[in-house]
Amino acid sequence: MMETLEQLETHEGFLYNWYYLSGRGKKPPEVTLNRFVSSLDNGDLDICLMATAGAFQQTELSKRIERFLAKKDYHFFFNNWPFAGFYEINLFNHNRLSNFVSIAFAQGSKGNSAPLSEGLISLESLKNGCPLRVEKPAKGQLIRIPIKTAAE
Amino acid sequence: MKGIPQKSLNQNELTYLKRLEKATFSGFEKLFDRTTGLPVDIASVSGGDVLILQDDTNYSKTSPTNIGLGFLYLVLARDRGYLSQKKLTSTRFV
Repeated sequence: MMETLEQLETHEGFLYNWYYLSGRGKKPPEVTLNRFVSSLDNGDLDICLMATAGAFQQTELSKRIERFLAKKDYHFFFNNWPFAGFYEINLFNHNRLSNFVSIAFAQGSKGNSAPLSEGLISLESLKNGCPLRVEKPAKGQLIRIPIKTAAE
Repeated sequence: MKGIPQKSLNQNELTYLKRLEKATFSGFEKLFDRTTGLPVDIASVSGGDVLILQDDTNYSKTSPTNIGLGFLYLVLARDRGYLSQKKLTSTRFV
């Protein structure tokens, strides 16, 4: 399973949402005609991979999983500062798993983006399922996270 | 667990749960595509058997969530004794 996973076509380390399994012979599964990348599904996968690596510690499988996960940068799913000026993240559904994965990876700044762990630190918003909009912080300042409820 | 009434299961209940668990793990194992080792998204069930529609591209496909659950199956099946070390290390599963 891991060997096939490593051979799948990805976009910036993230899996596409659907791959054909049939009629491929020995070739790796091919991305379906409807090509898109889902934060929800990739969050699901990565949480499961992290659990698997933990269950098979110090094995070749755990090392391969770590290498696979290291290729991903969850900034891909968030607006970049120079263009949008804020993160706008829908936390109403279970794609919040992706947010937890982002925090767990504790990925640092990339280019002009703030660390994801800073942009997603509001556990209160996660608990309440509120949409989250974060203003760009000045350098060295703590980030401010205004919370809007669903009613607003 | 505090606040929740405790009840011990009798032998019949334990036997039933064990049978259910065994059938669940057995069924899950059949969801893995034979060539790629990846779990399929949809399978038909007929007469208690799981049928993978190998030649139908509308059904024989997988997604990151399916694959993630496939890995969790490995962990749980090993922990519950449904997957031998030999089988676990075979190319198909790992």
